[in-house]
Amino acid sequence: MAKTYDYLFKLLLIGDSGVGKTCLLFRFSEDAFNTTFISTIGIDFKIRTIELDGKKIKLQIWDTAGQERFRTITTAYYRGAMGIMLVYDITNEKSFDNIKNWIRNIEEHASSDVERMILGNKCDMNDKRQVSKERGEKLAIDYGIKFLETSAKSSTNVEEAFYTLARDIMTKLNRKMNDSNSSGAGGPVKITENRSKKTSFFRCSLL
Amino acid sequence: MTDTVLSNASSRWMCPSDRPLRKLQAGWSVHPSGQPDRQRTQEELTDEEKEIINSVIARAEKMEEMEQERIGRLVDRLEKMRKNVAGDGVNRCILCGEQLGMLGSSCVVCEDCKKNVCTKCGVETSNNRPHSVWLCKICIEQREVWKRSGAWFFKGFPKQVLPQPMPIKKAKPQQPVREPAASEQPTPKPKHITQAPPQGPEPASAPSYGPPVRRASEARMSTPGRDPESWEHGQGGAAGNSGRSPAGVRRANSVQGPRPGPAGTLSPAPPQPGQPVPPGSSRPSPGPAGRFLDQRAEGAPSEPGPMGTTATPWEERMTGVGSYSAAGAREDRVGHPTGPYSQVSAAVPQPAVAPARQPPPPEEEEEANSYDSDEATTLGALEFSLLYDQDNSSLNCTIIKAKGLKPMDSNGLADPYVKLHLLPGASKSNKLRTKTLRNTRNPVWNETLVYHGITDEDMQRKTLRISVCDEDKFGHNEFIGETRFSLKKLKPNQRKNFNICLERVIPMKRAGTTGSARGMALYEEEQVERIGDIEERGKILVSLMYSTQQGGLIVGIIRCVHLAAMDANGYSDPFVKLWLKPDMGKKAKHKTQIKKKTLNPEFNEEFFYDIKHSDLAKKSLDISVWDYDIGKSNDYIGGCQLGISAKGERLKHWYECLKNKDKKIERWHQLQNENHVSSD
Repeated sequence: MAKTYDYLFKLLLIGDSGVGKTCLLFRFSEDAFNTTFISTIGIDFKIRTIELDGKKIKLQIWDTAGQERFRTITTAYYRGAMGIMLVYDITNEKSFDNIKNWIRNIEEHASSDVERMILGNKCDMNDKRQVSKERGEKLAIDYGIKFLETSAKSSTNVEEAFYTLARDIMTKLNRKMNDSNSSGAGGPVKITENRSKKTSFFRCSLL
Repeated sequence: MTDTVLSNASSRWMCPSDRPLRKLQAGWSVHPSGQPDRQRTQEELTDEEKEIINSVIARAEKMEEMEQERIGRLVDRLEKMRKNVAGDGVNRCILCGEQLGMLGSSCVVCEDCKKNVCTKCGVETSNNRPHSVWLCKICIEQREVWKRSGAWFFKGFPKQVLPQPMPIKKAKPQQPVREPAASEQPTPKPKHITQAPPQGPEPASAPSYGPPVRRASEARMSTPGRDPESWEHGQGGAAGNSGRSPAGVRRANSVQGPRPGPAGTLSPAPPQPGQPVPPGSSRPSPGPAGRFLDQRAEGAPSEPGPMGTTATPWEERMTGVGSYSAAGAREDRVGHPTGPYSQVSAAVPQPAVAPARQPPPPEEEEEANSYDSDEATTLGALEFSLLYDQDNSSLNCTIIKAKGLKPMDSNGLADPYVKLHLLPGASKSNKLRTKTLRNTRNPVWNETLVYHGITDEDMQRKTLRISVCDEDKFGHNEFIGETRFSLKKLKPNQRKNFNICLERVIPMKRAGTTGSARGMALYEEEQVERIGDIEERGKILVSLMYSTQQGGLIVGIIRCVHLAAMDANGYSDPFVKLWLKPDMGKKAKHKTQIKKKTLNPEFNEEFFYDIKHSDLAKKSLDISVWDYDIGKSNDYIGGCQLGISAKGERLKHWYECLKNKDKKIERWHQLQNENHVSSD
């Protein structure tokens, strides 16, 4: 009955109020969707265990309130996060503009090693779209962050998003733990190579 | 991959003179001067909101505890390996002590600890580097511990990233008690971790990576938003000079004392007297080894203080020092010896809505059972309604649906059904159940179950227990969670709807701590009822003895008294099941004979577990008493769990058994309605 796991990854969802953070999480953890908007109070978290490369990874995903009045409590959770999802609503220009601020918040409060990802949510509502996919991609490239358009409602790219973030953390883990040692001489160069190769590869597949 | 860019980004976006940032400083709490705003905005949170937040924190804390236990086991294992080193790592293999060199085995050098090992005790790894390297098994294990514990990311064991529960009503002064544990960083390879260039963003902050400064920054990171001081500190750090600000330095110093040093945390010496300090100097990294000794000197006096209240030496050994930071966890609870939950509820005058919305308070005993279980903290929610039809003397219980039930089957789903018991008087005639729905964690039953012949007196006296169980083939049913409702709160002929979180818990200790603070008569009564219910389940007399001669644990089930009656005849047909967990396979389970129609059965049976003494410490013994039913699933009467994660008498019993080999120790244990696993 008790499930064991190999790694515990802590993820965090941030973004303006109403962009669908809770719904994304709900979709990912329960595979369900709820149309009624219930503003998250402060913080919440859900758990899901996934498997990557034969490793069982327990994801503890923190959901945060987008509202400013909870900012104190929500920022307190940045530091413990290994990966952060920045979520905006493609039908809400403002939420997209604020991504910059959220990123700054991350830089301020999160671990410098944190993996990040930008999600443009509600991509099922194309008729109300205010932010083109290209703009989302552009922003992501500017920051060197991965990007996906998602829909919690139609269950588009939700799994992909969380798996991608988890995989990035996993990659970082393997890189760090396998190379952290003896990286003295040729190490750094090689790792940098590695990294940039991967980045460009991913972007290609995206754009 | 983001690293490369991230370092860019940080230089680009961290600039404090960034215009949009200034513009937004009120709304975006990124600027130091945003602090007062933040304080103010937090004050705007209502008590109800804070309470909800606190319940989440409590849930997270519970999970964190389990995680810490898990890490503790990893560290213990590593520690054991370290203790068993036989060689000197120069002429003899560090692990097996075999002679190396021309006459002996072929020798390689471990990449991490630079000691010589024989090829049998080393492992060759390539790690996509051109030439392969060797690691000794200890260092491999150590890397594994780093990966599994999250230390790889946090550069130390991740502890206490959780903020404190929010004070409700009046902010109580908070001391930075958490820092010591929080900033523990075992750093077995400090050189590489702190200086490795490949870590993208670090070049930017590289100057602040000297040990003290780094500690300061970690102290900051670990206590975000907890008190004004750490806020201020955080802000200072954020401005990019945490190490230079006086506050930062001061904090750094204060942190250093009680915090176990790097090596110490990874290779803690058990504080049991008489146990030799493992050859600490033979530890891989020479740098931390020195600090390891420091830590023991400094750490020792600092620990007993905060945790002296509850912790026994054994507990301390197993979960505390032996596993790096549990001591810190205890420190967090200074002044709240009853645990995190009561801390929350004690501080919280609960509005009437609270009980329904709060997740179940965690129970200690449950931990050992489910420390690895993902949903250990969330059993699921149940929606139902109750109607007392006075004219027809019936109680109609409509079980509507459940949501997010804890997955019980290997497919991640469950086959749930709901059982109703009318308490007291747990007899079969008082039970009703719904049909079973297959393969779902969100079952919708919409079934109405009716108790007939319910009188007003019954309504005053009785409690309805609603439990959700998972039906398995062959009748191995599992209990998921339950809720209880005192029927006197139900008004006649008025339907009452409920949507509650399932519990597995009897909050025994809460009665004292909450009490009048909450001013909720109803809730208190409920607690009293629950405590009454515990007593109703009976007691069991158990003997434990570790036999060195036979090399195993002998468990004696002697007798039970005052068992709850589960059958209509007012008796039970009890038997006892034993389960030594975890990872013991089939031989872990034993059963006594069934004693017919009695509430005070005498068993006098002994069971033997073939297990090494050292392994036994990590196990726990699950004892459960069942009522045997022909053709139906057996009823769970009660149980208890003995082990190092148990509390009170249960812990003591286990501990004494471990300590006094070949001595038979008998103890009575109260049976409780804690989670049990299968009812075969």
